Amino acid sequence: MWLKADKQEWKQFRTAAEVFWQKNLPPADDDAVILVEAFHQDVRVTLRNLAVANAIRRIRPARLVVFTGVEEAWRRTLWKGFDVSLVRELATAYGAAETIDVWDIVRKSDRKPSFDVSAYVAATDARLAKLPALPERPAAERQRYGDGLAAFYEDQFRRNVVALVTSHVDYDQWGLAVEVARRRSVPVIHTQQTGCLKAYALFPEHDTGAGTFREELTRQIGDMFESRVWPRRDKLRPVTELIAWRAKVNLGRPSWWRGGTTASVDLNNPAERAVLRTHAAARFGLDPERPIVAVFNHAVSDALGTNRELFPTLADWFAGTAAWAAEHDSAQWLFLDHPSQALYDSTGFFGSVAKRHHGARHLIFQPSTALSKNALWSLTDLGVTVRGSVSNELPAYGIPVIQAGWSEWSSCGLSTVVDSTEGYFKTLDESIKAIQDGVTLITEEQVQRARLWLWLYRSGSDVVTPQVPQWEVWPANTLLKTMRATFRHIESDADPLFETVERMWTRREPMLTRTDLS
Amino acid sequence: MSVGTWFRTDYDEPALPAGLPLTLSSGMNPAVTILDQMVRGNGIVGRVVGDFGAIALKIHGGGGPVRVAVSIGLDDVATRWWADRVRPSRLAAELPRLVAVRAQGRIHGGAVLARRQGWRGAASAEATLSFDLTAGEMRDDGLLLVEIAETAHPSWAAGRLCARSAIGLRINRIEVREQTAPTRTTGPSGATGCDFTVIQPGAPTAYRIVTAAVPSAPPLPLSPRNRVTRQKPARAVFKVARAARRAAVRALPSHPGAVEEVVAADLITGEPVPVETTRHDDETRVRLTGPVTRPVLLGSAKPQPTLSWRLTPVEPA
Repeated sequence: MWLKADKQEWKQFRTAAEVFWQKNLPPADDDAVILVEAFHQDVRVTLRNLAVANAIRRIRPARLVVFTGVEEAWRRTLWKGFDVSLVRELATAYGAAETIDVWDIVRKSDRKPSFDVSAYVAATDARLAKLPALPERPAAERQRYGDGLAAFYEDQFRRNVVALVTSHVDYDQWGLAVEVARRRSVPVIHTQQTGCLKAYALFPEHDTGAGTFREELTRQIGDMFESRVWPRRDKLRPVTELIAWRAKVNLGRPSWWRGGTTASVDLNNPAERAVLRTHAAARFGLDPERPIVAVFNHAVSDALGTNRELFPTLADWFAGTAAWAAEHDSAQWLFLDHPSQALYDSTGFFGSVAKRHHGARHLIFQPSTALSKNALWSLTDLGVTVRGSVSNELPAYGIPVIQAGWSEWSSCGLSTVVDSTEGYFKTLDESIKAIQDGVTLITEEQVQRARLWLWLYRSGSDVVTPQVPQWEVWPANTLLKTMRATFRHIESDADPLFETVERMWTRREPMLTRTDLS
Repeated sequence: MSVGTWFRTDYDEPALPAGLPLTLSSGMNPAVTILDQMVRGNGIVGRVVGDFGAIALKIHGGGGPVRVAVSIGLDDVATRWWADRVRPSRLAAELPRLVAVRAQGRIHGGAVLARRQGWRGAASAEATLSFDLTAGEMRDDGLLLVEIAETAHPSWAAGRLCARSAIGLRINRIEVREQTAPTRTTGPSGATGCDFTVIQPGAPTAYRIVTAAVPSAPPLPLSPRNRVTRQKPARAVFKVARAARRAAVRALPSHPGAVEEVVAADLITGEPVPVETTRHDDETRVRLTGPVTRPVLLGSAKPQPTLSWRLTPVEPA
């Protein structure tokens, strides 16, 4: 675990946590277990998992089993300071009965699982090597690791498992655990790395088994939005407006959103947009009078194949869109690269696409940080993405977005989600014509839905509990001190953590909600 | 309905238009409506954080012809902001900045900024550009948009002008007043501090170049960037090394000599502009062969970084 905290602070935190959980959890009287992963090096991620697991243990007493460990490629690519002994100490403080170094077992394993793991192995290989494409034949070692992990998880899930709590649902170490859990009809709770406490849940009775974890979730989130949130729109209007304003000036920002002074928007009306548009367009040699389509490249090796997408990979989508755009100069195209691309691509994919279209004056390739959000909003007439957050941000302010794939919010009716490649290019073509004809591509209802999604994401499904300080409560010493105060000085009855997890668990809802939305 | 209709939320505050005449010297003024790649200042209007930086002011009663004066500043913090973002090599010297000023969608002029160097005489640079906006360029309750923009550098100036020139520059002040009679664009008239200068559109075509030797610019200040240089005890050592480098550069004798030949380029595109250089005794004179319709960059053909120029108009011979 990566933890730059004072030793003394860490010790006091653990003591406080240990006493708290000893008195707040009923003892397990059977062989039931809750499985929790602790593969991520950030302590905030693991804390969220452990808090949710313990909240479930209050309803259904069970022993806590923690999976941890680190593999060389993960350490090399992402987690330079992972320390298994610290994870063990943390797990013990939260009342874990066992902490298993999974990678220690898998490294020596040559066992085969009962199902095919190649999709997970390929996606993991692409991520760790930072490749934009799925490798034809992943390294033999990765295949062995994938097999070993799946076989290990199959063993573990033979126990009487109450739930799997996991921070991620992709790649081999997490994805295979989720896959096995679904095959064994075990509920999966997926905690989120932003806000206070956010979590999604997939319960076996709502799992059709037809798609990936994220596909199932997208569908269920859509249903919940339609039946519980949309009917409340009038009552929620003042607060959604406030959140829409806060999102505009970059307050209440999710941990993974772009920050900084250039991410705050000042524009209020078409006149202000038009003034800045002339200037911003001139910087890139664009004509402000003609339609401008912004295509947002995603982090190219991020969780490939984990939700429904029109193209085999994110890179195929981006290169395909650029190739199509090159032949369609009725619009001007702004291709923007993901701000964190360096962490996801080692091959210079974006640059290679830009080079291929060098000389096409209606195609502009830029890192997205080269534009302030003010400039971006003033230029963009139509946004295009697969699953990027722009597909919920832009519609909330009346800029239409086409999605070539699914995301968490894609069935909530904010954006135009297309379901085939022919349909995708046809929609692009029609949308450009519509902009030229002055037709509005987005409805007031879509704007309202997008603002309601902002509310649901940032407020409705974000549980405020002292047990899980907000993501920005950091550095580690500050976080540990805050939590120590919670454990020592706050009485735990009616803590929102316990109430909300119980509500989600007993009603089998797809997400944790701050208030009762039934 | 067009894009922008739904930008507003119920919680947005309307901008308060400022009346004329306006002297804006703080970014906290409620007339500042939009900031694009700029941060607000307290005692200055703001500072540019990207390759371009723009600010929009809401002005009441600006529908008629107005005169706008924009003061651009280059100070020590500007060089550090630039170095933090561009990450130049450790030995890269500070280079003159060349920027264009665009307002209401049109480039009105440009400026070259070089700080005065020296052991004791170091100082910030400021350039004020004044230009007219004709009636209707700004609407009556409209926005005035002022942008500090990058320009294409001509090939002969490669390595002699600062790349990504706008980063870190300040807008010190913006003045707007009603204009009675049209006046041509004016820029700074003093010494530029470097071997470049900009002729604003509509300016005379013939000049005498008055030169003076200036100390050479030391390497840029760099924020500690790796684990070793970030450590406090180690930092002291690097600081000594940096001070020594600066001292070494400053101790260099500067005998730049006279201006031999002058070249000119369109400030916006970098295309060459025909220019004649003549030498009378100790004096160098330049004459642009055509009228100045767009801002023009003048520079000496061979690099003379320790020469500062000042142009004085002369009657064409």
